[in-house]
Amino acid sequence: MRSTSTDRLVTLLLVLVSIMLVGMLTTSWRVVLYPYLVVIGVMILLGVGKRRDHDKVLMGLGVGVTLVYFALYIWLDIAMIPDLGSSTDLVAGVVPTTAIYFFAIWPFGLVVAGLYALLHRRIMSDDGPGAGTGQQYDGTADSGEVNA
Amino acid sequence: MNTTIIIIAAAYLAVVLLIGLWATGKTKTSGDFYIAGRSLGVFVMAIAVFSSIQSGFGVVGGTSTVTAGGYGFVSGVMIATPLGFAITWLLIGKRMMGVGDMGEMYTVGDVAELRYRSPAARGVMGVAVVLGVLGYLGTQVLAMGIVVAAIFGVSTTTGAIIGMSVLGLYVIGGGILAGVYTDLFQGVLMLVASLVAFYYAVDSGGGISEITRTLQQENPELASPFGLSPLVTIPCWIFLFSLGGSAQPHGLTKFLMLRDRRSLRWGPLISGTGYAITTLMVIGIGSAVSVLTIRGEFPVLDSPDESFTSYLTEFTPPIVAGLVIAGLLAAIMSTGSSFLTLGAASVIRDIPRAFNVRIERELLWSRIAVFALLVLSTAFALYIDNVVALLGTFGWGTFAASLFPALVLGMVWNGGTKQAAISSAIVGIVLNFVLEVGAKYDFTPLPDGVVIGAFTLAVTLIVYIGVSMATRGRSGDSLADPRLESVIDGGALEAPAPATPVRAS
Repeated sequence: MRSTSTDRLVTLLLVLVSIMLVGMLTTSWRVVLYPYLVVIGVMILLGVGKRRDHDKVLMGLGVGVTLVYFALYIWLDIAMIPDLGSSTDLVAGVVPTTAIYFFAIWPFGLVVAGLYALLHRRIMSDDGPGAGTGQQYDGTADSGEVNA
Repeated sequence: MNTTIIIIAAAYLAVVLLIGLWATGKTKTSGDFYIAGRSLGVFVMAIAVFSSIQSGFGVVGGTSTVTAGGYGFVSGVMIATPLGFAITWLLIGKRMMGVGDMGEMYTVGDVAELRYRSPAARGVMGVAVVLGVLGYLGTQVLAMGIVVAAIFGVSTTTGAIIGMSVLGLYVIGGGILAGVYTDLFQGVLMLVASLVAFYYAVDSGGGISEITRTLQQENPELASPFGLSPLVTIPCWIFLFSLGGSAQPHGLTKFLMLRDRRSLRWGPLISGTGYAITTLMVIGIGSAVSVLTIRGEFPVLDSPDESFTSYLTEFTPPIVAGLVIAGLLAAIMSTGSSFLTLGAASVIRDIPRAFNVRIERELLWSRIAVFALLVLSTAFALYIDNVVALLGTFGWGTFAASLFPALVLGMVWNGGTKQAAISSAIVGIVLNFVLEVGAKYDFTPLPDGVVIGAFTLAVTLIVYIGVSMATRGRSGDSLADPRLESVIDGGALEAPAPATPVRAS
């Protein structure tokens, strides 16, 4: 049977979740967390459907969200090495590690929700003649008409 | 309790009953009862999703967890959930609306049978939902009993009966239509209550910086984002509550109620923002109580779960306490109403249809089922607490582990098979039950800090994908309906119908 891009993403998901399971059994929090950040991107790419194959913006959404989460958690990870919560420097009233979490990682979840709204037409567009243009295909495969 | 608080709580209950009365007049069919006649717009649906997801457990349990262990619960559970809304809308929003266009889709069981052409898959999903519903309802009964008793000065039993009676009155009559519109009212109430509570909590702690300094002096980890939680717990929670959120049936079925596709657009932002605002209440009150306790200014409590209501009655004006306690009642009732209709749907539709039995006069029997669930869950909670303790293990984690692979991954990947759906759901139910009940009897095979629901979700994902790969391509596993294939691929909802209609069963 010919493998599709969805099959490959699901296989990647299987590998990532297996690594996370090993992380849980060895109580290695980074081995659970970092593969999961890739899982988030995989889920976004699965969610947008086959349009990801010819819409670079939607492909970029999945990859970009994972990269930003990676950057934020690595920043947090580095900040946690010398100091978990005893810093005398406060950022908006909280310690720097909590500030990274509350003021960057937390809002980014809402940014992803905002990106969903922003890219809604592309995401909702069907895999027809309008594919890749962000325009709405009306479901009539033979008409070739695209609803803007 | 103070008269002002009693008046506000009574007014809240009266408004909820009035909405229920209005919805009862609108509910004419089982389609109205279960999916509100597919009439919802984005605002009502998105607020209903966040208010039903934000339960009494999140508010009361979250507050006491912050008080006892710092911000770990907030960072792991409550900050992951808004991301979960975005993932949910991306994964299933368009697809659930698509399958809703393909026939009479009221329940997760209906979707499972359509997706896998398997009554057995429907039945297993129905059983998972019923077990979870009884567990969730049992905990809501207990929470309701404590809150109503505290407000009106009655016993916990009487409080639970009063609260469940109000809930029953509006759900039996108005079904999910009453549920979502009371959720809308309750959600808005929770938002206002959360902002007010956060302001007072920060103020009584002496400001954010002062709260942080006091926590640092007690234990620096209390001021850190992960608090006293084991580090491995945090990513487990993030995984379970962001990804597992897509498989909560009280959120999932609400996509079947939407009027049109455009309604999806702002949903995750509205739900996520609403949930984030209610998280402020948990952070604020939890850390304020922690600081006040360190300073010796907070009364000694019998149970950490009392910290939420004790703080409000002792440290805020009665009007604020009344508003926030009404908001807490709202959190409990909005979750309870969703689960009552979900449970009735499984009992009346999913489980009988798994055995090819169709219930006639579905609306009448659904109302009877809601009443029976109310009586059962109240009786279990008040008189057979061991049953609630056992059923209470069927909650978020069970739904995530048993429903996510089949109903969420299966809706974005046409390679999933019915064997995989059934086996992953059964593994999810059994593994959760064994590990959760085992934990109560010191059977803890998992390393310390690993969250059972996260572990079982990982296992069931592996089971689903593995079994699908092993059984894929066998006769009967292909998707016979091109419309369904198109929906799963994220394509047209209105692809041409097949020449020979394919029956769901």
